Amino acid sequence: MVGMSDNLAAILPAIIVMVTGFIVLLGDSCLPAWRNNGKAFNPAVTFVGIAVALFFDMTRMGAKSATAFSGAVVDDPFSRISILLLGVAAILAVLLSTTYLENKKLHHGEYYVLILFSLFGAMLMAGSNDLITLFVSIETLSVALYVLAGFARTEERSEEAALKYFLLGAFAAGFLLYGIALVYGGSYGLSHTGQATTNLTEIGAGLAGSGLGGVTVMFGIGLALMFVGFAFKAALVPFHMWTPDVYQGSPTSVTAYMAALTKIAIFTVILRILSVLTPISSVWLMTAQLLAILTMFGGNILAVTQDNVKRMLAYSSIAHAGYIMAGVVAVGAAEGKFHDLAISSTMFYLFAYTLMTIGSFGVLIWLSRRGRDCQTLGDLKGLVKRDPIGAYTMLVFMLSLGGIPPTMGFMGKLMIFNVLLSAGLTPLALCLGFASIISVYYYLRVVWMMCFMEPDRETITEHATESGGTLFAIGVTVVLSLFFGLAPYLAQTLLAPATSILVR
Amino acid sequence: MLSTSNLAMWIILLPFLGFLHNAFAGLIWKKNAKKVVSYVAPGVVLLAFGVALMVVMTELPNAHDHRLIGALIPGTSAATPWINLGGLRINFELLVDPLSLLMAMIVTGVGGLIHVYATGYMAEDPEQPRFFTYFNLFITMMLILVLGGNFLLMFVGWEGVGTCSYLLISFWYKQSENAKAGNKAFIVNRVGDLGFALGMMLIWSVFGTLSYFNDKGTGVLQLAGAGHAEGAHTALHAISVMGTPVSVAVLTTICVLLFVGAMGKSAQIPLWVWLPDAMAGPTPVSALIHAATMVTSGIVMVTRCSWLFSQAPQAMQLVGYIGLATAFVGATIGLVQNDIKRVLAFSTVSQLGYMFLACGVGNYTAGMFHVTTHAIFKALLFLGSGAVIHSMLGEQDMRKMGGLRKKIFKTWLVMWVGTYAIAGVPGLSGFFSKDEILHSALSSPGNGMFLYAVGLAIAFMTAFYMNRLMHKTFGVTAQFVDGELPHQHHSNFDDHDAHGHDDHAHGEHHDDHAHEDGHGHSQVHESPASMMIPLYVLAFFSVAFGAWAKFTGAFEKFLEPVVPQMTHLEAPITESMGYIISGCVAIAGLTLAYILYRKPKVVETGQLIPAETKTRWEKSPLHPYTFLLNKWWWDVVYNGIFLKIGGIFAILLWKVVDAGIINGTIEGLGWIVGGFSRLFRKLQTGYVRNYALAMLFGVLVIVLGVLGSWSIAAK
Repeated sequence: MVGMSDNLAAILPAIIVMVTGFIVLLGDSCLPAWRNNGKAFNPAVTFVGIAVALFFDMTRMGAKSATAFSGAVVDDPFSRISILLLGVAAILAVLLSTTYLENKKLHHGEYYVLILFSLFGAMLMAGSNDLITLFVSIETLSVALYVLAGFARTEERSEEAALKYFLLGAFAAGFLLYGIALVYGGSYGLSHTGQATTNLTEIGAGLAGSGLGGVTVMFGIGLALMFVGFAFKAALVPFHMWTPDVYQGSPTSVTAYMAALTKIAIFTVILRILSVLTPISSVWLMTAQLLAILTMFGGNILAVTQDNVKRMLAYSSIAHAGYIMAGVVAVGAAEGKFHDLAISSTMFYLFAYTLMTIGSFGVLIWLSRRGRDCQTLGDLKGLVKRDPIGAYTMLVFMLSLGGIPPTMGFMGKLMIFNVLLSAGLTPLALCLGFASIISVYYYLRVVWMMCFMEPDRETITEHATESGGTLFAIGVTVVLSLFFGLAPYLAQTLLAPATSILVR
Repeated sequence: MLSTSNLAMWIILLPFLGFLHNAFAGLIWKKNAKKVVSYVAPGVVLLAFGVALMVVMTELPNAHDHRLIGALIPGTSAATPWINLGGLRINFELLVDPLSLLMAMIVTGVGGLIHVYATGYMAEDPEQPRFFTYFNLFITMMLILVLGGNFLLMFVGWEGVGTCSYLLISFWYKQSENAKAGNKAFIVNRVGDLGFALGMMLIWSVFGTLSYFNDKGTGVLQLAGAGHAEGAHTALHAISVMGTPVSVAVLTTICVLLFVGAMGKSAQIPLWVWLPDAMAGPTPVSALIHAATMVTSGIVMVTRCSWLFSQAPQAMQLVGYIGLATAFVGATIGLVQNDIKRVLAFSTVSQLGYMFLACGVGNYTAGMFHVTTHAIFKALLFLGSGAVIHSMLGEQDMRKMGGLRKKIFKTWLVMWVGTYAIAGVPGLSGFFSKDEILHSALSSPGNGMFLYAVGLAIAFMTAFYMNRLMHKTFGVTAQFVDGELPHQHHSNFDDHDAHGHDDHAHGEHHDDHAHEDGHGHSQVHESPASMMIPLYVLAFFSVAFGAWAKFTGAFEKFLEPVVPQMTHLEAPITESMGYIISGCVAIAGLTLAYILYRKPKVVETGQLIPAETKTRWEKSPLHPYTFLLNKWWWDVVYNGIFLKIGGIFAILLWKVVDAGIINGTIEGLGWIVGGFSRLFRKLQTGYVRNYALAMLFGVLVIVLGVLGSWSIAAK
């Protein structure tokens, strides 16, 4: 029996984030001194809180894997790496937010509280080892994000985004919960105790013992419905329809945060659950492949005709979810050392995706520092003359998203491609190639707009608020994207511990 | 087990940091950027020189087998992979051995001096930070080239220096001939690079690795070295990979392909045509890149691969004869050129040929010795000519100079040192290194006597054209009116000349001068101290280095572990006899030029004879003077073959293949994708009910998919 302190230590980073959330909430509402300087206090405390959480996360990186809270939560290198990525995404998002919110007159303490609570949910997701814990943490993340999506409450689009996200999210949550219930029912007789269970370790052990024979219709349908819930969160086609509306309507800083955070969290969960389901991979592999292909092509084809950059990036994030899904399929299909390679490649892609998504939305925020939201392709015309910093950083992100060297996006795609081939999934690898060819069109269209078009007269504005945080966040993402693009194996070494997922 | 070097990475990283700093200096320092850059840029290179010295002093003596492996990125090990795909694994590794350290010291030492010089030379250029950005990047790349621990890293440096060379040749890009010269250099080098790349791929497919050395003992050079050691006793083809012997034919192919790369970078026939045009760049560029360092990288590469070459005798012969031919052609053309920098450029081509001759006859140490001395005295000569050009306000035509000895006495003095050094006057460094090459050519198996004779003829011509240059520039009476020199300083900004002189940021020397003589800049003047001090240092080493290295034997001992010792025949003459012969040849060459150019307006055939009085022979393109002045019509022939005929082919590819087939396909596909996009877009109605319906459809897909594959798998 593990003691309470061990239990708490296992989820220490998440607890720190949650406590920071309460501190900001109380400080902002109760302390007048804090409230008057909210601009400085809120982001600073948030930043410090996340940084401390990450510090503890990293100090535990080499520790032994363990379960806590009677097996409901797991603390293994995989969850620690995932928490690290989540924290980095959140820190970058906080850096991007401050000035943007001020310009939009949205600077309220709740924003940071919601960021922290959603991060708390996401971190718990990374460590969930029980379907019930998983459901609760997904909802913790989701509810905070619903509110964040509607944070620009005076804007109709933001309101609309929040409502749509909420309605469809509730719909998907229903499927997820129903799926969990069916899996619970179907697990009867699987585990060695003979009891029904929602614990992943026990389900995994049961499946390893029984193989395909242990799968009942109820269990199969339960898995399928659970996957519906995950697919909605990950925005896989055809569960993606909410994405463009929500990404476009939400304040850009929220979009950047949401796009990165949910993807990291949900793919961590998917990887964990699928590694539990490895003994019966023949049941889900085909469907997962189909979803990956649909998502890659759906996202890319729909992005081609978008004129709104935020919307275009939303579709592009759908397409990237497809690429990551392809990596997940490779994890399921590959064996031996390729299995580990597939996990580290998928994690690398998630990391790359995080950097380039936050980066590209970050540039949109940087361009919006003049008070007017920069959203359409027309807004980017002739950018290289008006705002070289914005234009060149955007160029890097577009190249990275399009998978062009020497960027991280290229290396990530190369790795996924490589593991797909070594797992014997040649058709999927080809689909990935063709889908990325389509994507180059709309990424380079942005570059073309920035570099080869003359600026419209009215888009030239002089007044600008200097925004150090935004610039810093963009700078970090650019440098990392290029650095890990040139030296990808350093990042892969960094992410290597992630390959030890604690299942059994 | 190979020893590790912790310091070596800093030799590369310091100039790299300098490069980053200079690139963003304008952002950081605003108006003070030029001043800060002029300290940082030479500073980092000289610091790197210090680090290289430290490696030589502290790490190298303790190294096992005179060799260390280092990491390129701080905090990592030499085994950190850069590329790790299937069987291809490339590490971020450095090879630190006497050869790479020698080159690193040349690059940072001579390079550092040229950087100092350039702070004076480029002081007035408004784009000085851009210049030093490229300059530091060049040093970085050159160091990666020489220190890289595998062929791919060398190739990274190889391409990097090519890019910097291109950027710097066309530094004053507003004049289209400069831009064209840059293009020419880049394009001609591509041909060589292709050879290098193919050679590298062949190495990988034969040896299974691109590393020179590794712990398992399977590095390319380790295997080749082991083969060499065995070959000394038994058959020649003794290199074996995993027990399978590598055939001489394959080795020869590898070596020839690598040498094609060397031809491009080191300006050998037939890829030498870019180097003379490369003089369009600022003079420090000519000195650093197109004389002292980059152009010698071909020799460095051949020396690095000497263990391979030494077992491919035919490839070595090719190297030797190409070198000899280039040396000869370069020297003949150098005899008649009128542009001071062009004379030096052809002299460089010719001297590079000498170095390849040394490699070809198997005396790699002599080749590297000449690389070293040449780097010193050619840098001196180029920088000296730069000082002349600077004094003449941008004039480069020797016919418009003359009589400069009294006006710029100090420059004249150091130029003499350089001239005597390159001409091979006994006692100076060029004498020893050149004699070493000639002697080993003579004692090489095969046509030793022929190689020696042609080599002597080239030495004679070298002495001749150098003394001609000196006399035309400094000796005869002035061919211009002092005080009324046209201002020809290059810059990308035309209005600069009008404002430049009042700007106090532009180096103290010029301002003093402008106030003193009232003529502003139109008078011949000595160059500032920042330009003269490097010249003194280089002059000192031009005198002393050769004798020191020869008599102490330090150079040979230093390089001994890294190059194979070839068996040589007994030379028909003793070494001291060789000294006397080559000394006499050098002095004869100098004397002949003195006799011909001592007096002003000596008749140069074809130059002073009016066109209408020319005989048919004199008008003929094969007339020696015309023939040489036009570089053996080399460019004309290339234009005819590659530009005209190749152009037709290119147009065919463009109009039919590119515009027709490729564009047609792509646009067709794009049209289809766009159509789908517009179609699917209609599904995105914005109504939640429709979205939910799509989700239900997805639920169906997943449930049926899972149950379907389950029922298939269960059977």
